[in-house]
Amino acid sequence: MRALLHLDRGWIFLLSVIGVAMFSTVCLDQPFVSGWVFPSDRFVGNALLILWPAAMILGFLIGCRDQLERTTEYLIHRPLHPSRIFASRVVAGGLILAAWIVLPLLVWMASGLASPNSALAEWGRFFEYLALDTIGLPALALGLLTALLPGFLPLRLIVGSVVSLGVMSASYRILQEGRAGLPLFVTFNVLSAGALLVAARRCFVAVRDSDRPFSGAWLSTCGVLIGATSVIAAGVGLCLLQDEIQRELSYDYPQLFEVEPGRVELVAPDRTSWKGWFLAGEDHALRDEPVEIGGRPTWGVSNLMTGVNPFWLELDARWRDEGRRILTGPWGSAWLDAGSGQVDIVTLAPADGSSRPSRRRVARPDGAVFSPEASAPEDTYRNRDRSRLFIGDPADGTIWELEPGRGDTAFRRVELPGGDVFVDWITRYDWSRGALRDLLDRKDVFAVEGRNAIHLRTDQGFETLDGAVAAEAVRAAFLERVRVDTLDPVTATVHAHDENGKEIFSHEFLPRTGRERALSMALHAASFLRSPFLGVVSYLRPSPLASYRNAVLIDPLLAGGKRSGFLLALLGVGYGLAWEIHRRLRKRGAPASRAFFWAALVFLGGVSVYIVSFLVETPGAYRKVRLLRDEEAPRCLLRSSLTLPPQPENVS
Amino acid sequence: MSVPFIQFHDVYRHFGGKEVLRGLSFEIGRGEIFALLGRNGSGKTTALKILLGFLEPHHGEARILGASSHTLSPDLRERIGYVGEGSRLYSTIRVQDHVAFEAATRKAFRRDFAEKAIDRCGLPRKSLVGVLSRGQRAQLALILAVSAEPDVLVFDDPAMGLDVVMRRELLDVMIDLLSEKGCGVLFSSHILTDVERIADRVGILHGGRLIVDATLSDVKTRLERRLWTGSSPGLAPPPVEALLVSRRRRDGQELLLLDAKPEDLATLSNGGARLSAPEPLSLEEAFLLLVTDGGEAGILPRSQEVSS
Repeated sequence: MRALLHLDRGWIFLLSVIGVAMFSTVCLDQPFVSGWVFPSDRFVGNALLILWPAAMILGFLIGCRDQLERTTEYLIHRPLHPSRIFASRVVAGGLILAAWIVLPLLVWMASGLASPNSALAEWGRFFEYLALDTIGLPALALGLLTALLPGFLPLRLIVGSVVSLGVMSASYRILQEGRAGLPLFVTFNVLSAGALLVAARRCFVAVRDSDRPFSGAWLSTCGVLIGATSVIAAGVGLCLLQDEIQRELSYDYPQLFEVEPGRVELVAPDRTSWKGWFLAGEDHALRDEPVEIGGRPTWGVSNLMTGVNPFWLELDARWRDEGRRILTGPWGSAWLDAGSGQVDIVTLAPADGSSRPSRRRVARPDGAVFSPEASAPEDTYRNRDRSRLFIGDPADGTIWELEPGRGDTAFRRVELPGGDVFVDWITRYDWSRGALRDLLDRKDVFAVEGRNAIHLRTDQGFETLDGAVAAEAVRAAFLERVRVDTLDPVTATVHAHDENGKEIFSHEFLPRTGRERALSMALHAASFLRSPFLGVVSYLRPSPLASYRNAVLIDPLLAGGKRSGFLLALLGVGYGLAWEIHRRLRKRGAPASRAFFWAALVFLGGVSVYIVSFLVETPGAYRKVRLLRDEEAPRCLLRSSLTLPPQPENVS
Repeated sequence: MSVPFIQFHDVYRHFGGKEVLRGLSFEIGRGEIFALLGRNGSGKTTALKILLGFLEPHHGEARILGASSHTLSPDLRERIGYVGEGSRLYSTIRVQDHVAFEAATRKAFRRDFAEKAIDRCGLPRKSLVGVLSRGQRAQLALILAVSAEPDVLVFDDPAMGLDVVMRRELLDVMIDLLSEKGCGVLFSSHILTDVERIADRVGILHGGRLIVDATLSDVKTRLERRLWTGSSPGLAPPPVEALLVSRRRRDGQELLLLDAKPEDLATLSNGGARLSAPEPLSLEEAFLLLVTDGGEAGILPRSQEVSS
């Protein structure tokens, strides 16, 4: 292996240098402070959005290296076992990837040594960044596999891209767990890279021969592995797609609105002209009756079905350090240590180095510490109280303030009007309170949601907002009286009650308009691309699911034993595809066992495995040899008989 | 019992719908230099790839050094030298690094021999392989293959694309190296003058099978070309057992005869026809006559097996 690595040292060095330069630029583009003193979540994005494709391209190049130089036969003819050759390629890729990951980090760290704020740096984050960068491992392995897969290059690239989407989405989902998910993230990356490398090794053959079938041994390991990977990848990809469709559908449904006490109606905006909100009928068609809903929030079925954020927004990986939360604002910066509940005020040294950086701890005068749920309003109050740090703690309902610039050494308690207690901050970035923002018609909302009222920060302190209180109260009261007795991505039956518990409204949300039906059909059509086997698993799952994002491989359309007819149709599709591939392979001359193997795999895996079968089972693989009869064969005109010398000893 | 170094036994291979090899069978013994000839696409490279295990046949078997080709162990590959089509080597490393790589991956590789040969050929040791000319690269590939002291050497058209001078230089190197080794050699080529200089035996691949598998001397002595002129224009020569091919020329019919007996010649001369004396026949001319006119199945009158 050493000889092979020595042979490859030229391009290993070249690719390493290119990658190190690129990733060093990316690292150095971020201020040292934001990486090592107040880490932002941008590094997560860099790892996922830059390292992933770069590592995948690297793996692809390594896999294609001998194909590009047309030295495959020369290499295979070395008296070396193919596993050693493959291993040397993997090691070469690993070395390059390690250089890409480690050296730019070291460069970044070295750049910080000259920074006046290096004393505040947390160098231990190096290992955290390393852990994040393990995402390069499955990407490298997937690139390698894509290069070595049999079949036409465009088809291989499609399969590689789909699997890439699946693996990357899974990584994103794990990263949403924050730092607590890092061990799982690293484990997932290592295991998925290992599985992909096993598949790639199985594809590492001397010459891609589309005129011969793969061996049974290859098929029983690699074929199944690729099939399973494609099912998972398709599941994740479809999850993303269906989540989008589902949210579109749920947003299309009308919302509930308590027009007057005891009277609940369906309301929906006029989306064609945006002329406002109108009452909607049972068939979800808008009636010519405008409704003034003002800023009052209403209840939408979308709240139940999909939550608030689109999937892709959640994939943005809000990756906060729950252990040490960084509080920043116009007043400066602080660390809120969730473990100890203490707050450290951090003062960075100015760029000119005129003063030294500092870090001092401030405590609450009551001697208590902040709970892990304590939070500060984000950088939202630009025009008010710029110099103050506020921390609200919902555990004991208190709000504390500090003016670091004034040299405060302890927090001061802030009282809310009427003795109200702190529940949460309301800021202009708080989209879930968009209606409140509209109601206040202010861009610099800085308010507190108290247990009894909403309190707006003014020059004089916190003032209670009557209108908002009313709105919130109505909303809260109304929401408590809404009950949904189905859990489903498409349908929901909603009941609303009055204060006495009497049902005043009931509606079954179903696709009723043309657009709703089209979206529902798209949702069902996408589910037809899922694995029939997983469809059965979903169907047998005891509890239903409302959303596609809750369990990637489980189909919420079927979860909890729903839609038996759809399940039968899905099985029918699986059976149809299985029958087709069985017929096709038998017609081509494949042995019955091979045809049955694929039929079973396609029946279980569905469309994604069916596509994979096209990669593996090429049209000419089973073409029968037509042996020539003596009379039709070109005959040898002139033959000198071979006089063989005695057999040398070393010929077996 | 002696075992041929190389054996093809009823090998069939197709690519898509195109049948390339159709029952290829031949053997090469120890110390023989066998040239595999054929037109473009006749299956020479396919045969060599099957022999070295890069491709599997759809029927039949190829064996090398007594082992089946598709189960060649690293130890057996150690004993087989191979120069592929276009003499592909790693272009981004230096000549001396290639020598070092070979030395590290082949136990029997004689580094000093290779370095001397490289110097003898005037190849710049410190140059990148990629900047060598095609001929120099072919020489280097040849040296590397021979330096491991293989029992069998397989070359796939080593002189392809080289000009006359480079080809001659390569051939000299080949003769020079092989004279010291005495191993079995199978090579394919389009350059029949080169084949005549170096090969002991030739095989002409046509229609997926060998239509000639003979020593060079057999080809030259048993095949003869004569000009036949009939008593009237348009007449075809009478069918005789020795007649392989007849081709119209302006002044008559050009005949290719194999092991022509006096009675065959007498038959051809009957009825006022004239038969010229044998004309000199090079391997290239024989090849052209065989593969352009006489090679198709059914045209040929008979199979002839002659002991040399």
